[in-house]
Amino acid sequence: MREPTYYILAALLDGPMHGYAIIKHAAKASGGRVNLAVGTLYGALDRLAGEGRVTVDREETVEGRTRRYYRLTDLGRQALLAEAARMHHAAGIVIRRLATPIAGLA
Amino acid sequence: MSAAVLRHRYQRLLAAYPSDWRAANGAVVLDTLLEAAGPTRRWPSPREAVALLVGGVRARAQQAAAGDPRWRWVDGLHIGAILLTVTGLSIVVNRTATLIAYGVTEWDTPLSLTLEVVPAVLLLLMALAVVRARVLLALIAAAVTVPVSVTIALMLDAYVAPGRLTGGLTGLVAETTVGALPLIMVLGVLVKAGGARRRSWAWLLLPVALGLADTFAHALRPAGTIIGSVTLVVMVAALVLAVATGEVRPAVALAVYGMPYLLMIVDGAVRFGTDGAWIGTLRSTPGALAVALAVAAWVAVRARRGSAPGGPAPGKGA
Repeated sequence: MREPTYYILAALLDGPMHGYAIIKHAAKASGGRVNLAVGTLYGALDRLAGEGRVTVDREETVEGRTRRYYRLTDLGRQALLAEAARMHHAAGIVIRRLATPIAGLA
Repeated sequence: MSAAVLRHRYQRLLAAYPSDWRAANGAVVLDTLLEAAGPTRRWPSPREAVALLVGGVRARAQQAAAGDPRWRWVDGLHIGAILLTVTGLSIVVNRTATLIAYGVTEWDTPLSLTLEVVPAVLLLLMALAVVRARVLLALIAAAVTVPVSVTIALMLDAYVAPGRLTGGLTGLVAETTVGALPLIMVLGVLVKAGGARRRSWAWLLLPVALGLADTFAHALRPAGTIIGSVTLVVMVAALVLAVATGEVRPAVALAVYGMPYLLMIVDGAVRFGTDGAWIGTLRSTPGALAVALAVAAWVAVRARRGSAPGGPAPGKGA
């Protein structure tokens, strides 16, 4: 799973969210590293909706602007958790290794 | 004010997306773009512009992979027919503008000027009919053009300069038929396919612009070379697009547009031999590219017919 996709799905863990809120959430959660362009975001949401990982929750008009809210599906939640577990496992390998000095080099 | 300007500029960028995608998602994406841009921005950021253009091409590619390739061919043929007819109409605009601006020449006679009205009306009728998807009417007009053009040419030749027609009557009929054949064939296919979709009247601005540019923009010469070069570049881009994404409409349309060049080569080879003196670069290259475009479009459709579409259907869910 690519990093922008991960952060889009992660944003939706907090509940249904509209496009601009997802962009802000992803930027904040990634420490500013994932700064999604709107065109990129909707391309990713298109793809994720086609894969059944997100779905449209509702549309609202706020101050004359149309907002479409997306929510995570069960499939999307599973995929996100699997990716988080994979990264946790991968990070654990390095962290445990760094915590154990190699005999002869210490 | 700046919000309205920015909205308009983003709308232009969103034209990169397919029309049904825009109908389903355009308003939401546009409002998100404006919200992300803030109140003072007047121009889309380069990063956002690139993302929209890339997203548009990707959405079109997904649509091409998922959709029925048959109607893409029909759509491409229709655009090709429009290009052919507006090119013809641009000659009428050019001629009319020249007469108004510079008056008649010693070669113009009352009879020749009167007779010129007939093909001009036919070309206008064809362009209107093709743009508004009245393909049967356009086919009839295109078919009528051949005997009308031959008759007028014979009449003018007899009146103005006897013996001017190289190749005699057979050559004249052959040349006129060859010139009209691509459009007649394409319109025949469109009639058989059940028609085409109606296009915007804005297409008619193209022949007006081309005709007037040819009349008045002498300072821009060699405009013909520029237009020819741009055409070649666009043709190569259409070739790449068809093979890479399966979006065959530009390739099919430009293949139709290039067919008269190809037929001119064949016609010239039959009548004058293959010594190559009559084959100019700007004539032969579009012809060759037209064949390549048609083949590429066919290969792209064949390749995608065998593979299941992988991505989501455009316009769904986002």
